[in-house]
Amino acid sequence: MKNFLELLDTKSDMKVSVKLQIHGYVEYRASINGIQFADATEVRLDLNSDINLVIHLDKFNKGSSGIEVTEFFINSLEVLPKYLHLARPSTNYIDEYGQWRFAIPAPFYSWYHEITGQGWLLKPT
Amino acid sequence: MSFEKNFCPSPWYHMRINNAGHYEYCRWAIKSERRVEASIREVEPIVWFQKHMSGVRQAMLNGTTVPGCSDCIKMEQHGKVSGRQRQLLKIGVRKESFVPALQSSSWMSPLSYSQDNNGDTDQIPQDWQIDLGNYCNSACLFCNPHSSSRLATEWKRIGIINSVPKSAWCEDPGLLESFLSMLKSSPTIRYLHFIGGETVITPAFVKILQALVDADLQHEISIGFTVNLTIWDADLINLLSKFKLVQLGVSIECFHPVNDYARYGSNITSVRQVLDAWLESAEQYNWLVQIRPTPTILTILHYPTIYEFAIPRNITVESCNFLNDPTYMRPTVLPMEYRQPIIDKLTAVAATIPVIDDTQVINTRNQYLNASQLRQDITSYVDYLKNSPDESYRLPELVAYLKKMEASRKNSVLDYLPEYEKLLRTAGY
Repeated sequence: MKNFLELLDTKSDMKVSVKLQIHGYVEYRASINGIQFADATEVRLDLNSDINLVIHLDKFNKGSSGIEVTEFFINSLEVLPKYLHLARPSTNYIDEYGQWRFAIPAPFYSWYHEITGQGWLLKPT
Repeated sequence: MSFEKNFCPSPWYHMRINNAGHYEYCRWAIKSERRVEASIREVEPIVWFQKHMSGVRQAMLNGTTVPGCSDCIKMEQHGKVSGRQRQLLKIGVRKESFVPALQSSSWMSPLSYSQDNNGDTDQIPQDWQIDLGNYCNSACLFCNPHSSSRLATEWKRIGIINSVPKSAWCEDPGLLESFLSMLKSSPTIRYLHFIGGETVITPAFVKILQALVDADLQHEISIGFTVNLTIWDADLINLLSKFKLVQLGVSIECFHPVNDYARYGSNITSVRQVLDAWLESAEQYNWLVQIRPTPTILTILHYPTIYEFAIPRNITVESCNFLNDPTYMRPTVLPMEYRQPIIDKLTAVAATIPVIDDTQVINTRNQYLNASQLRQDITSYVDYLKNSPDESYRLPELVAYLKKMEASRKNSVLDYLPEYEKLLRTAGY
């Protein structure tokens, strides 16, 4: 890339990849920004999109089954399991009824800057 | 031409006023390439920032290399964190995710504005470097008259210069008041970095801090400065404690008596006591502390002692850059056979730091990343000493300077560095 004008002309997006591991008997619904998937997905989202990974557990055997989010990467940057404390509830092993969610407000890179402790983020005046 | 390699966002939020009151576009720009720009006597700071820095901004947008940026390029080549990387990080951009991070940044709009307006900007500086003159009680051998009044007097006395630098801009009450009123009317200022001389004994330093407190602006402003470890002042500590954050740099070259030779005017025993006092204050007020050495040919042999001090105390170490001026004091003036023991020692010290994450630490002020930062800083010096060309042809120039200064100071480098006797003798010592 030679200059700023080329940057303006370049269309970039985010590659979001998720892998789930199913432990035992589970009925569930998983989605990224409303796009449903089974146990793995790779979607491309606009750079300025919010990102919402949502998993609903409908049926499972309490104490012996559940869903583990083994991978959640955005543009090759690890989100889970590294930042599982930011999930709600704060785990990457889901074995409770109801909704589990990992929400990232846009823009992703500003959020990533904050959570990785990169210091000041100046805003234009 | 490469946009990713050359672009720096600094000219959209940072500027500098130098000792003479002239404006500069960057705190890292190398001295020999700095243009003589307008001064505070001629143009208001914000006008200069918005209209007169347009050329630098245009160069950044065009992806061209700005000559003053060569230090940053050199630092990145050796794996040392550059000023450009730091300034990119302040807008949320790292080199490895440059394109998507910049494209999704809130700074795209100001950049586009400049693209459409010949480099002009409607931004105002949020990050200032304020040079307060050369008032200093030390006369470090690697320093210059523009940064040390004591050295300036000595150089004039022994005939190296004909006259000492003029008074700093901030000694003019009218100019200082004009600058203060600009600061007070800039509500988005986040960071003020002060440079001396020895900042803490420069009257304008306290005047500016007090004026900001009187204007109730201290809550959002962070202050950065470096001390030469000859003075600790309780009143100043109290004033500084009112600000949002203090980033304290402490200058020391090594924990060895050669520090006294290089940082003439200091004494390693009292330096240790003053260092402890500053560290205690920093701990009390939760300030960020960094050791800020300037490794030279004179101190690089004992430079590993700095890391040995810093590692158990979880303090980061960071030189501004690889020394550029004076050229004959660069560590690379050492021939390779003299560098090897230093490389071995630094490598051994680095090996004592466990590797937790090998991602490059750009935010060197995140204390949780201090160990990684220390390791990467040591590694950058190992790389620099291993791979930078031999500049031992500069040894005679070094010896000539040392002899001149030692005649004035009645000391001898050999009392501090007997290891270099043969080397210095061959160069005319």
